[in-house]
This record gives sequence, C-alpha cells and structure tokens, in this order.
Amino acid sequence: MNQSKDNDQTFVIKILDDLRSNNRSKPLRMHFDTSMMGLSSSNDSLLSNKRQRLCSPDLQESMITPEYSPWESRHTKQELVNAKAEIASLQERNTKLFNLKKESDLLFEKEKSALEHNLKKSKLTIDQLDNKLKEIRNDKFNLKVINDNLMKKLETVTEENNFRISNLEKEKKDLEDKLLSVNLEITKYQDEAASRNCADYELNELKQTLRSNENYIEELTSNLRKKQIEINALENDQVKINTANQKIKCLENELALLQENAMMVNTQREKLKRFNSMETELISLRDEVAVYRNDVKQTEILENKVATLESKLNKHGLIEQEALQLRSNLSVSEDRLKKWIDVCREVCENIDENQCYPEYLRYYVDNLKKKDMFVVNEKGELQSSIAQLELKLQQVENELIKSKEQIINATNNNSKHELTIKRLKKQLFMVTWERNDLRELIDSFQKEVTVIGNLNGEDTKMEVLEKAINGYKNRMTQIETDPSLYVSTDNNKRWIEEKNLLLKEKEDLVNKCKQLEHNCAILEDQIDHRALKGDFNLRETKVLHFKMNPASLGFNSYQNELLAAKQEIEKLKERIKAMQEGISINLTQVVDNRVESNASQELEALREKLKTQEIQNQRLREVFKKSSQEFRESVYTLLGYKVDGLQNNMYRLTSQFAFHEEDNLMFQLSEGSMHLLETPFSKTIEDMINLHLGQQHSIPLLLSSLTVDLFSKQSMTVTADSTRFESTIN
Amino acid sequence: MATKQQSQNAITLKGSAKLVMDYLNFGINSILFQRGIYPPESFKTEEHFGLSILVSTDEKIQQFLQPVLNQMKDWLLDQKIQKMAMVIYNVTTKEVLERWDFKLQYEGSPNDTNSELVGNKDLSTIQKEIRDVLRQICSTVSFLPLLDCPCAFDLQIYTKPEVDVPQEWAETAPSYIANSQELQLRSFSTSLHRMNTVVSYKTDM
Repeated sequence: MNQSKDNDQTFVIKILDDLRSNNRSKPLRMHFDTSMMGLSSSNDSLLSNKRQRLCSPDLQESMITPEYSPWESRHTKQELVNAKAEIASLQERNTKLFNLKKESDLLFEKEKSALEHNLKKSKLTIDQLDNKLKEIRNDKFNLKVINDNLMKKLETVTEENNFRISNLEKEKKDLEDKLLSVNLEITKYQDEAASRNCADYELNELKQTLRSNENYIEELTSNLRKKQIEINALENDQVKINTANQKIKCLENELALLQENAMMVNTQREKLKRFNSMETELISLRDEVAVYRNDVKQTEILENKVATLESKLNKHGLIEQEALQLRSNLSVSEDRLKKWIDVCREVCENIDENQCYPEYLRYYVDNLKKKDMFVVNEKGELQSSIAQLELKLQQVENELIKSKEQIINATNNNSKHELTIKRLKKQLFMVTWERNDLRELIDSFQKEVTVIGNLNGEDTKMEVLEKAINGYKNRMTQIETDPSLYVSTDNNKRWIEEKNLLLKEKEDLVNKCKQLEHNCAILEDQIDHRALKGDFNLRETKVLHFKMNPASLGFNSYQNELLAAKQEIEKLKERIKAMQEGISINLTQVVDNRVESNASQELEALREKLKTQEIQNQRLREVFKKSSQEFRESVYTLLGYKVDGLQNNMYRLTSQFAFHEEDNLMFQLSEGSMHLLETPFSKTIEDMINLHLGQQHSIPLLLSSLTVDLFSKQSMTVTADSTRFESTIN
Repeated sequence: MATKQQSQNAITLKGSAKLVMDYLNFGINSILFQRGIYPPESFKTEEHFGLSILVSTDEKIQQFLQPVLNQMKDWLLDQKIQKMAMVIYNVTTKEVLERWDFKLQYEGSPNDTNSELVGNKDLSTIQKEIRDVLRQICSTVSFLPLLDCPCAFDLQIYTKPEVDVPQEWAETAPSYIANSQELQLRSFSTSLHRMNTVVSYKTDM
C-alpha cells in the first residue's frame, strides 16, 4: 500500500514539478520552437497533425499574397499559418495545461487536506499519547511516592520486626534460661515431692506457667518465622519495585526520545511540503504508537503490580496487628515474670526486688534441697538406729525369754537336785551309820581277835571278813567320791537324748505321713482311673441284670443256631459218605441213624460235665483244707493241744507247753472209744495216767492236768530264770 | 411370691427319677440305633427334650427295657443304684466290645425324708443339659470303632449289696474290656441326681 501510495504521491509530485516547470517556461513561450523541441518528446502525433493542418492554410495564404516574392510570401504565409496553428495548439495546450493545473491543484488541495487531516490525527494521537505519558508520569510519580512510602513503611516494619525479633529472641533466651532454671527447680522439687505437697502444688503451677511460656515461645518463634517469610516477600517486592523503577527510567528515556520526536514533528510540520520526512515521521510516529501501546501494556502490568503491592500492604497491616498481639503477649509474659518475681519474693524472704533473679531462687531451692537431704539423711540414720535398737530389743527379749526358761529349768533342776541331795544325805547318813556300825563291828572283832589270839580255823574267816570290810570301804569311798550331781546330769542327758530320739522319730513319722499321703493321692488317682475303666468296689456292690436280657437271648439263640448248623453239617457229611458208599434208598433214615449212633456231641457234653465236676471237687478240697486248718488252729488256741490226724484213726496230741516237739501223746480210735498208745513221753507221766485213766477214766482230765503240770513247770523255770537273773544283778 | 417361685422351680424326687429314666431310655435307644446293634428300619423318630430321637419299635427290646427301667426307678428312689452299665457283646465270641457307664450320684441333703426332697433347678436347664448329653452320644459314632459283627447288649445295674434280687433278676459278673479306651461325656444334674456318662470301647492295637 505504502508503495502504491508512494507511487501515487510521486506521480502527483511529478505532475506538480511539470506544472512548475511550465510556469517557469511561460515567459519563454515565444520560443515555442525550442519549447516545441522540448515538448516534442511529450507531444502527441495529434499535435503534429494539427501543425500539419495549420501549415497548409499558411501555405495557401502565402500562395495568395503576391506582394512579396511568391515563395517568400508563401513562406511567410505558411509561417503565419503555422504560427497561428501553433498559437491555437498552444492555446489549446495551455487550456489543457490549465485544466491539468486546476486538477492538480484540486488533487493537491485534496491531498493536502488529507495530509492535514492525518497530521491532525497524528497530532491528536500525539496529544493523547502526551496526555497518557503525563498520566503515566503522574502514575509513576504516585507509584514512586507510594513505593517510597511502602519502602519507608517496610523499612520501619522490618526495623520494628528486627527490633521485636531481637527483643523476642532476648525474651526467648531469657525464657529458655528461665525454663532451664525452672526445669532444674522442678527436678529439685520433684525430688522433694514426697515430703512437700505445698511445694508440689507450686511446682505444678510453675510447670503450668512454664508450659504456657513454652507455648508462648513456640508461638513467638512461629510468628518470627512468619515475619521472616514476610520480610523475604517484601524484599522480593523491593526487587520488583527496583525493576519497575528501571523500567520507568527506560520509559522516561523513551519519553525524552518521544519529546525529541515531537520536536521533530513540529519542525516537520513546518516542513509540510516534505512528504518524505512526513512519511518517515509518520512511520516513526507509528512506531512510537506501537511503543506507546507497549507502554500502555506495561502500565497495565504496573497497575497489576500496584494491586499486588496494595494486597501486600494489607498483609503488612495484618502483620502489624500480629505485632500488636505479640506486644500484648509480651505484656502478659511481663506480668507473669512479675508474678514469678513475686513468687520468688514470697518464697525467699528478706530479698530486694533487684535481687529477684531465678539464680537466687535456684540458690534458695538448692539450700532447701540440701537441708532436706540433710534431714532425710538424719531421718534415715535415726530410722536405721531405731531398727537396730528394735533388733537389739528383740534379741534382748529373746534372751530374756531364754534366760527365763533357763531360770525355770534351773529352778526345776535345783528342786530336783535338792531332792536328790536330800536323798543322798539320807543315804549318806545311812551309809555313815552302817560304816560306824561296821567299824564298831571291826573293833569288836579286833578285840575278839586280840582276846582269842591266833586261831588257824578262824584266820580264814577273818581274812574273808577283812576282805568284805575292804569291799565295804571301797564302796564307801566310791560313794563318798562319787558326786551326787552325777546322777542328775545323767538324767538330763538321758532326757535330751530321749527328746532327740523322739524328735527324730517324729520327723520320720512326718516323712512317712507325707509319703503315705502321696501314695494315697496316687492310689486315689488309680481308683479314679479304674473307676473309669469300669472297676468298682466288689464288697459294696452287687451287679444285677435281667435274666431275659437280649445278650443272653442272643447267646442262646446263637448257640442253638450253631448246634443246628453243626448237626446239619454232620448230617450232610454222613449223607455224602452214604452217597459215596452207594446207598440210595432211605438215605435220610440211614443218615439219621448214623448221626444218632455217633453221639459225639453227648460225649463232649459229658466230658465237659466231668471237667466241671473235677474243678468243683478241687475247689471243695481246698475249702475243706482251709476249714480244717482253721478248726485245728482254733482247737490249738482254745485247748492247748495240736491235734494231728494220722492214718488208722490215730491222733497225735502235742501240748502248747511241751518242752520238746517229741513230747506228744498218741490216741487211737477203735470201736467208738479212744485208747492211749505208748510213747516215750507217756512213760514220763505214768503217775498221771494211772490216776486219771486208771482211776477216773477220763482223757480230758488227763490232758488238762497235763497242761496244768506243763504250764506250772514252764512258769517255774521262767521264774527261776528271772530270780537267777535278779540275783546276778544284785 | 417366694413360695410360688419355689414351687415353680421345684423338682421332686420322683420327677428327677423320671427324668433320669427318660434319659436312660432315650440314651439306650439312641445307642442301639447309632451303634447299629439293631437294624435301623426297626426305629422310629420321636420328639423328646427338643430332639428327634430314634426309639426302637422292636417289641422284644421294649419288653426288656420297660421292666428293667421300672425296677431301676424303684431302686433309684431308694438310692440303691450306683451305676448302670450298658454292655455290648460280640454274640459269637461273647467278647465285650463296648460299655456305656451311666454313673449316678445322689445330690441334695440326705437327712431329709424322701417325700420332702425337692430340687431347685429349672426344668428347662435340666432338659437342655440332657439334650446336650444325648447330642454327644449321637456324635460319638464318629470316633467309636465300627461294630462289624453280630452284637447284643445287656444292662447291668450296680446296686448296693443289701438290695433284694427280684425273681426275674440274677447276679452277674462285671464285664471288663481288655485294653480299653474311655471317654467321659458331659454330665447333667437334676439337682437331686447327677448322671455321668462314660463310654469305654475296645481299642484295636
């Protein structure tokens, strides 16, 4: 398009140039030949034709006018005609050119108006742009101001935050220190806990406050983090603002350039005629317009940024609120600190406000703890001493009990000893009396000896008596030397030994009892197991069943079936045998006969019966033996005679009190009466036999008198033995 | 109110004896069925204790069971029975294959006269216990050895020695199983009688 316009413009400009050149050439119009020559390039063929036509009348006029030479006249005429033609053509041409000029003027005016319109438009756009620029500048200025304000605020806020952070950190450190101190205190208090409930209560309170402080610290640290994050965001914002400033500077530069361009436009306005410059200006202006559009976009971006900055401002407001909250928290914590200090003052008496430090509290608590430790140690020592004393007391009491027992034993022993001493004194008295008596006797004997003199027969008696006397003396000395206590100590030892023995027996019995209990348990288990297995107490139970029970019926029917089957088998066997033998007539009868003749079953039954009979016999024998044994034993114990039944109705009687086994009597039963047979023993008791059998005719009398005699003899020997024994002891 | 409740919950000695006899009757019948001692077609189902129990329709068995159980009931009321053993024999060898011991214990104070002896257990709970034991009897088939020979059974009553032996009864020898395995089933109690059921069976070595 531009190109085409340019072409158009150039075309118009060329036309204008031509026109100008024509105007300039006006005074030289007379020299149309040259002009003609100059125009010849541009003249049409029509013109030549016209000239040619004009020429022709001229020639005619010259031909007519004879004043001059013909040829000259002709020639002049021709020239006149030609000139007239030329004039006419030139006039025509002039008119044409005039028209052309008018047209070109019109075109020029049109173009001018269009250009002027364009210019106006561009001026308007420039004005608009100028206005926009101004607005942008104003905005920029405002933004700068806002930015500056924000920066200032930011700086103030960051400073404040930094200050608060530092303060909070300090507080945190202080609180941590306090925490540590309080923790230490708590540990100390926990140690004291058992003994001090009040301290416990305080401790709990302190713990709670500590926990709240810790929570508060945590909150503060979290707030700090948030604020740091916000500060970072603000720093980012600052960077963005810097970049925006840079962009603004760039825009200012561009603005300067634009101003220069505007100046250029002004200059170019003056140089309206210069289209090229106009065009270039136009192009440049278009470019500028594009640039401005870009600027507009950038301004939009900047507006967005402003919006973001405003939102950040709001955030900063929130942060400020949080800071206020933090301040309030700070005040609360300060109040708590004051409370703490108050507590410290209450706890530690005689203390100034300036001295109210956790260290002092710690020191105070340490002192308390030390005191407590000291007291606890003392208490422990006292308790241990008490325990020792109690132990000693118990020991002493035990000793007392023992000693009392010993005293009782001793008193008992004493009484016993006194009794023994009394007895021994009596014995001593008796012995002394005996001694004195014996001495007197000896004296009398000596006197007698001296009186009688030496007599051989009585020397031996004397010697015997002297020996007896010596024996007595020895005994006396023994009795005198032997301590009377010896007996009692012997008794004590015996008692102890007996006691030990009894204790041992008791232990043995206890062990036996345990073993027996164990055995009992085992046996009970076994009984249970056996009961499970179907065992029962035979003595206390009777097992009954219905006679016609299915089992017995079943057994019977089975046995019947068995029998029938056996019989049938035998019959069949016989039948087979008979068939093999060739018997075919009356086969069944023959078979039946044969079976009956065999009667093997009956035999078997009889044999079984025999067996059972034998078993019964054996059992009866056993029973008889047992009963006879019992009978004999009872007779032996009741009557004192062992009765042995011998062959040929002979009976041998041996007495319970017989000295030898061979001392026995033999009786024979014949014709309903008993007869005594001669034995070695019967010869020794012939008197008795004569008395009881010969005169009284009674065997039982003989037997009973014999038993009495034997018993008395045996008891005599026993008593004689016992008397002998006693004498040996004496 | 209290007396009413007592009368509702009370169980008399006769009632207890009847319950025990019912249990024995149905126990024996179900053993006869479960162990295949008699052909299964000779049994019919009857509803007792909330269970469908197979009872033998064989007249011989009923003729045997009824007098035995009646006699047992009399002895039971006099506290003469110690236990009842149902013995299953191999008919051909007379070998004892299985023995079901129904052991009886007498509960309640012995000082009271028989007419005043009253239990305080709920009938439904007793029936439930009996039902459980009967169920267990039915379930023993799963592990008891198969009786693959003609069998017959006998009821042996272990009584106190002072019992007079009735006419149709006789003393018999106790039956033991050599190398037996025992299983104690659940017990039930009527609060007057406690019944322990034990099954002993021959183990195949």
